[in-house]
Amino acid sequence: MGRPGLVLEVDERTPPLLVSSGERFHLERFPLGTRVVYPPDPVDGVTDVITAIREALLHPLGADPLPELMFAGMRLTVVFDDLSLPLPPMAAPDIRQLVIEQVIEIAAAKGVADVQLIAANSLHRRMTPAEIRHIVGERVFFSFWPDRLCNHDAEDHDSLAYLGTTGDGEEVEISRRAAESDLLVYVNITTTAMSGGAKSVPVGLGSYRSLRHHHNVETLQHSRSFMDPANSAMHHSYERMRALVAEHIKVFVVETTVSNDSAPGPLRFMVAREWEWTSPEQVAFQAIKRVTDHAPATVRRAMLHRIRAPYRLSGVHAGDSALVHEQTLRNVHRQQLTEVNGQSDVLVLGVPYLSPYNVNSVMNPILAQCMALGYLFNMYRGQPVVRRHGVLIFFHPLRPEFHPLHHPSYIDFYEEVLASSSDPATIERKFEKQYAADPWFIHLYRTSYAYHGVHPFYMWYWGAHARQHLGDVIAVGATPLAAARLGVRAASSLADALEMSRETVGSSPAITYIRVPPLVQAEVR
Amino acid sequence: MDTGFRRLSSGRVLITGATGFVGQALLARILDQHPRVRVVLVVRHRGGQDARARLARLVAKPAFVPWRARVGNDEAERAVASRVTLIEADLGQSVPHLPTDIRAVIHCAGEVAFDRPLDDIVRTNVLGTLNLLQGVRLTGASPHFVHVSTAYVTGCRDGTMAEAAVKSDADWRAELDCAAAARQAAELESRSADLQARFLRQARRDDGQAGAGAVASRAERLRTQWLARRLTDYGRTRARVLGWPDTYSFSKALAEQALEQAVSTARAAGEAPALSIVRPSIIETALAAPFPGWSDSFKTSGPLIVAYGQGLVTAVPMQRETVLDIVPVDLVVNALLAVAANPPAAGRTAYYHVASSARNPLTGGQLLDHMRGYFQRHPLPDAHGEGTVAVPECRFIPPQLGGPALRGAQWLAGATRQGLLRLPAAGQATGWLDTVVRQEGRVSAVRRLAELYAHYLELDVVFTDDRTLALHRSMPGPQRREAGFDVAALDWTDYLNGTHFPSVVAPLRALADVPARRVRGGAVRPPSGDGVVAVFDLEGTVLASNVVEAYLWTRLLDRDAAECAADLAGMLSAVPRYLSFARRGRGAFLRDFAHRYRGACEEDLRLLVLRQVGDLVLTRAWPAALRQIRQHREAGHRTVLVTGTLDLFVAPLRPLFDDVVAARLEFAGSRATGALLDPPVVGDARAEWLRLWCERHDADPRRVCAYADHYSDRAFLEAAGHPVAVNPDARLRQYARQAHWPIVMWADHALGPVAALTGALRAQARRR
Repeated sequence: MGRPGLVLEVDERTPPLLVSSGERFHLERFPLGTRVVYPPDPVDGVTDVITAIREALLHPLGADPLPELMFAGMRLTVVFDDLSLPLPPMAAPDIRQLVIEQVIEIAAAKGVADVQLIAANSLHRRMTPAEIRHIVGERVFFSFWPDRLCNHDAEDHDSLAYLGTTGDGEEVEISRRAAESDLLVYVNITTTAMSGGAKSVPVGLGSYRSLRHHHNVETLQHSRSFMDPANSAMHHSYERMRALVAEHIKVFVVETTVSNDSAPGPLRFMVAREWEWTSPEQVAFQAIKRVTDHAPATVRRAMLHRIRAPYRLSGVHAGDSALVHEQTLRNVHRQQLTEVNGQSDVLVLGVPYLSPYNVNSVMNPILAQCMALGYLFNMYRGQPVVRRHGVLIFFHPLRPEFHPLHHPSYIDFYEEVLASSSDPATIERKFEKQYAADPWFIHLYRTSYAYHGVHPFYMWYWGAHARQHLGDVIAVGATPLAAARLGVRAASSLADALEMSRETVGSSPAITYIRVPPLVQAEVR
Repeated sequence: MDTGFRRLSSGRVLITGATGFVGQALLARILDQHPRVRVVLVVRHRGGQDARARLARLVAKPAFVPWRARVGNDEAERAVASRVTLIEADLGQSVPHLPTDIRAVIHCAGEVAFDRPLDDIVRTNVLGTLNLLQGVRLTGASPHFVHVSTAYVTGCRDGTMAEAAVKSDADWRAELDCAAAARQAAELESRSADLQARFLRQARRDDGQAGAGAVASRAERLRTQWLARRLTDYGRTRARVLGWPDTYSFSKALAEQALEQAVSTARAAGEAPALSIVRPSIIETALAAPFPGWSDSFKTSGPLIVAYGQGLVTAVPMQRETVLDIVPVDLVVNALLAVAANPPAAGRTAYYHVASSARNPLTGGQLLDHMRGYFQRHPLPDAHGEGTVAVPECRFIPPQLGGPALRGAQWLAGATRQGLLRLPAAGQATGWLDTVVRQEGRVSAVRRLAELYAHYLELDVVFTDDRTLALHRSMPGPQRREAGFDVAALDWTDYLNGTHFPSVVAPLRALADVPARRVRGGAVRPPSGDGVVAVFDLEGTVLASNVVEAYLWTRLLDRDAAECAADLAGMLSAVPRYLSFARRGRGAFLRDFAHRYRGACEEDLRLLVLRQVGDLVLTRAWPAALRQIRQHREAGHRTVLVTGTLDLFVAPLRPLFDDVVAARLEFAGSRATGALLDPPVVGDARAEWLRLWCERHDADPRRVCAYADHYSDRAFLEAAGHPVAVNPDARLRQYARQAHWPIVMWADHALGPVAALTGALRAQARRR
């Protein structure tokens, strides 16, 4: 049993603390009295993963055992989460591979011939064959690729099925193959309270027509936070859609959770508490810092994106979505929740090199703002860590650098949309439809490896709640021009940023630093 | 009105040169202040406009605004119709037919540029004057002939110059004949085989990439420029040999001399013409009339003052104590009218200096102090429009040092520019080039000014004005105050700081408020309306890559390491051959390079592009270019891609275009022969292709937006109605600026060649 989460109060003896800033690492001294939030220690892993998975499949929650749901001649579709989870990617074998292999073995044993595997990449970019192979493993890949293993295509209108509208008028459109299957097995990996559950099928296999009902400014401003499903308008919408899907399709979900061992070997310094760094970890930090400080962007990026995390399976549950997800959330909270007493005036965050949308790619400024104002700001339950009209300070260089293959619409969003406005509602009203329907972006999404034309808008909307809540946002180390375009202020150091925040929160603000990675969710009392 | 003016109003006053600086001030003054005086204007047909059209434009100019405001536009039109008689004639070419009731002639017409070829300026300034005099004599009347000359007819001589005839042995007819012969000889020499070969070589070096048409027009332009320089040099040298600094003052001296001879002849024939010669010094902006600061000329001290205000002048080749003789234009006009109204005794010639050096001298040091003070108080906006120019400390240097220093600076700037033009169009080099071109322009402007004014700055001369002063003092008191011309009454501080300097720099300040034509980065707004076609070049315009890079992609991604190494070695050894082909033209290079694909399997190439190279193409495409293409498509325009790249590599961009014109490999069976099916559409051929394409597709070339990056695309861009230089190379950038084409920089957000290729190789390794 590891230690629970920790809120450290910085005093004279506190060493400099690790702060991620994109592809670089800093050791920062925080003002005395700053609260530093650490997650619980990595939870214990399941000792026999194969057996645990089998047990889950044979003794599901609220459903018949999987073998009993299968029969010869049936249409079986196995759907799995894409490469946006987990972060960083899991060292082989990926837990999804282990689950899928057992599901397929059971299907084979039951004489099911019509099996289709679909990556639930929604409006994310298609995964390359190599990326899919890493997730499903070589055995499955070579048996099914490319005809019976594919990426979901949310713009292939012949392959989408419209299931109807929810009571709130939300249209539900998902993959036709999934909709017309006798059984849909969804293999999930949940690393935050936001993922999995009702979100999996309607979002992972959905289209823009469906997604626009919950991925919008209004919904996100009323999701407080979207990491807390009970208080998230977005999750309420997911739930209505899931219920509609359940009326048409039999869905058997398999949800897995993992420990927060997100760095291998001596790279563990990235996740360990600074005063507990071992000698090899200290050496590794110095080495990595030298390289990332001085190496060209392509070299340090290649090095960091090579990291594979030695996660341990912390839970696997199968069966009915709602019952399973309850267990899943419990596991996630066990690993991530740390209690914090009261809000602070200033929240400090380090934005790491990786987000769900730049695996093997570039963290562009829009993704960086999404990480800071979207994901990390929303890692709370109860109330935000920072008070209303408080200040968020985040570390990221915000260089206007984009991956032209993966993020073409982000480039236009940055150059064209943000040059016009940074207000989420204005942007949504003026530009969203045009980008969502742009034939070139649709062509690239379908045939190349591009995120959908509307994707950068969603990344911007993720920050809508934070922008509404905060009094000021300051980016430390940011390119001033890019920061201005993102509607935030640039500071060259933490001291400067704190100085700049005085005009909003006064001269002696209460400061909280949330140390990421690993992920931590604050339970703010 | 005094008795003199009353005499003028009994007949008509003939004015020549009314469209010039002094002439229009004179006409405006007569129309405004002497309502009973009628005028005859001799105006030549010029610039496609006849005399009537030129008069209509003239009286709409600022000099006439105060008068129009006072009497009203209708009255002004009526006055012009009733008081002005127009005679269209070119005095340099023929003797005009004139009316008989002319009481006075004020001959302001003349060529005032300092560096015109000698035959031209003698024809205008000497022959034109004699033709006018002859025209007057033919009327049978003997009006008072007032000839406007210049104080500098005294040439390069220092000292005090009296209001008297200038002695000279020069024979204007001989000078005119010799100058015409020199022109003939220079024309022939400019067409000699050696010189033309030199012009052609230089034209090829400068414009070879833009095709044969551009080379031909450049070579001919070089010849005419050479000819103009040669004639200017001849004229200036001849003038200096005879003791004048330039052809202008020389021709004015010859004109005086010829006029005096002609008048003597007339007197000998029993006529009694009265001749007055008025010699103003350097004429500057108006002190009071038509309004303070009025000027229609930027030829005298204006360029020097502006150059100083722009911080370009750090040294002046003169002595601090040297006197600069300047006089406001309205004092000259006042003097001219007074002289015209007061002819000398019959058979006499009178000389008048309108000059300040004798009684109100302004030294170079004083003028510079005034300039420094003024620009420190009112600095000019800088070239970027972001700040102001801090004027530098300015030294007086010995006159003989100015020329060599400026020649050296200009040579250095020119050599640097030539060197930079040979560099690839990288961002940094482009910035350097802009700076060098700007500096070269400034040095060249200062050098031109220095050459023109050098002799005037060196002269230590004083022009007495006793006779002019006497005339001024002879005027009745009120008229003397209203229309006097006593230069001693001038307050230089007030005039320079309050009137002259502000007037000279006013156009420059107004220009600073006009937005720049160039577009840096971002989109170009496509023209509105139907029938627009957007034609894009590929490499350098839409794509950061080139044919060599595309070839490397196919080789590196399709072969193992050993094969790649052998292939690269083969390609490196062929570089000299490729360079030689590239010098002959891009088409020749493309044809030769295509042979590297000999033996390649068509299907393999297509699959390779589909699976790997297609992504590379997309990572090397500039998003701003793709955005511009899509903007055209959204507006309903047809989009066309024209490139010398193989059609295979264009496939990933195909959905963006209605038509693609690319090079095609010839295949025998499934294997490439190494030959191209059609001639590559590059260089001059691209302009012809565009015309043909428009013809076949019912498009109007004037509605074509053409986008290209290289100087070899010049003819193509010129053939389109809306050319846009995209990421232009140094030469195209220079050309686009001169042609006022939009320049856009789209070179952002594409992966570099190494990053793109290593990314593809890593992806390939993962696949294996």
